[in-house]
Amino acid sequence: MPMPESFKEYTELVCQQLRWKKARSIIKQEIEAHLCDQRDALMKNGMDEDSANRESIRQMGDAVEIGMELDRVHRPRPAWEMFALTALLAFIGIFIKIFLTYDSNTPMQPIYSAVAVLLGTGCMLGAYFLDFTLIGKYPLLIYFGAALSVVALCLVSGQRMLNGKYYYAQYVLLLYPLAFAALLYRLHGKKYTGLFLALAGVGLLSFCCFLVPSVGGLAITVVSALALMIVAAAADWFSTGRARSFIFIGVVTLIAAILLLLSLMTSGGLTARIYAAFNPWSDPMGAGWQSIIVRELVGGARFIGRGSTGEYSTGLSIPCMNSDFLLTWLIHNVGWIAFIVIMTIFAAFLFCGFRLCFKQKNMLGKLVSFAVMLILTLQTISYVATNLGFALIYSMSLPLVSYGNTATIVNMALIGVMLSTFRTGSLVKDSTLGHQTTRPRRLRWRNGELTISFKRHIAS
Amino acid sequence: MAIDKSLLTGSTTMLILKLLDGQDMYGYQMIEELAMRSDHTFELKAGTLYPLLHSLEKKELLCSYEKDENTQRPRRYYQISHKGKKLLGEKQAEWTAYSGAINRVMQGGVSFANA
Repeated sequence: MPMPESFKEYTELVCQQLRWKKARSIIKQEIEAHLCDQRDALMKNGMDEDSANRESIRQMGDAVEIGMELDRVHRPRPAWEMFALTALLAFIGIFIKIFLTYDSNTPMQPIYSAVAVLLGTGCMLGAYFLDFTLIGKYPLLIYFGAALSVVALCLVSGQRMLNGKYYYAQYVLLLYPLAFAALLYRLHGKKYTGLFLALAGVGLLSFCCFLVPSVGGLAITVVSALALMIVAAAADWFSTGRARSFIFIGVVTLIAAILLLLSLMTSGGLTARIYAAFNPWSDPMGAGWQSIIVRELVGGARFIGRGSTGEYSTGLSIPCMNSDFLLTWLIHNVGWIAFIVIMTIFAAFLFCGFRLCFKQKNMLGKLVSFAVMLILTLQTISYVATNLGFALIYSMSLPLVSYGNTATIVNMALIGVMLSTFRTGSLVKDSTLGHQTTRPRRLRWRNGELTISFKRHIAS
Repeated sequence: MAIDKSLLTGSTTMLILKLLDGQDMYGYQMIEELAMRSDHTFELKAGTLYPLLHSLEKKELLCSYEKDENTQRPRRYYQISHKGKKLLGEKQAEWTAYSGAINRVMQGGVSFANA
């Protein structure tokens, strides 16, 4: 039975009382369904349609009053603690650059960093107020856009590389876990096809990482993809059953690990790099020299104050020490106290961030927020490991704190996307985003019978 | 017999949680079920129910999901959470103690006022 105008007017009036517009669609749908249920029940008891419509509205109560009550319940919830911790980390980064690691040879560097933080704040706020459900509406555009932009940047850059890498392309790699989250979201209910397409998705992104080439970007992409697939499998996102999805992911991970091991055994350069990460003294003039200096500086550090240097670190210093090895620099020159303070704030940031990720009710918010947290966590872990003398994978930066202006802007924009999910995620329902719900099939062939469905799929 | 509405006000949360403890329900179904189980003593208004349901969901005592049941529009079902079940247990214990005390006084039990 079609919905009468009076029901639409009633729900409109209820929704007008809600200041948070995003909450309106869900409430509108629920109130309309209630009115229709009420009307149908009254008509079943013998009431005519017009009277049933009027009585349903009467029983519902005053529209303005209900709207105001619902307005009190539905308010955007900014994650203030995450804002505060982001601002604190960015402030610490600027403070260190201006007051501790200032180099008169590069006087403009702290100013550039401050500008990067300002630009990053703009990007963060822009992403925060932008509707993150756009990722769910255009997942393939986002996925292929991210993948192809790296290819395009590599092609446009030609032979211009820095430290053997396409400089700007490597920062786009930071977006890859988010792009993969968008792809995973699109693969809802696709069963094994979805799982295989997800694998193909990781493969394409990994290929793009090799183009840059960036081992750090590859590690972030692959580890995040694995973690996101586990998050999706835990919710039976592929509709294969949780256990089957987990077994699939486990088998694929095992095969990938064996292939990695085989490639390491045949690649001398990679084997030397891994060996040097565990025992840098095995190659003191080659792959291990930076780690040896770092380990000496860290080993000779005091709790507060400047520490001592060792055999290697007395005469040698690492280039870009105050950017790529900022934590080592701080541990050596300021003491372990600086490291403990920064790590405590990072731990609080990661704890609060992951706690909010787990609280996300819809899959899009969960995948997007997890993707961003994984990007930030993996960068932090690899940076800290390198700065403590375990240089297996070099990180692009210590998010928000170390030098790396482009990385700062990208990381802050990603934090903005994540904060947007925390702010409005409670109201987003996966089924309201349209394409990813399993629509009823119009044509169905079963037991020799062809069924044609003429039922319209009603979008909210 | 007419019942003072204020008696229901404080217990609505408990009643809603109890209804959902048995099965997941949508809003209209809850009103009907509550009226039926209480012999039409508790006639909950939809205008009271929905703000309450949304606020309980925000407090993570309930969660909701949509279910398409071949009706013209999908219905939003509510499900009690683990936290909600815990609160229901506490509220039920509180109610049992409270109603027991009221009954004892009303049925002429021990009165400390005259002791």
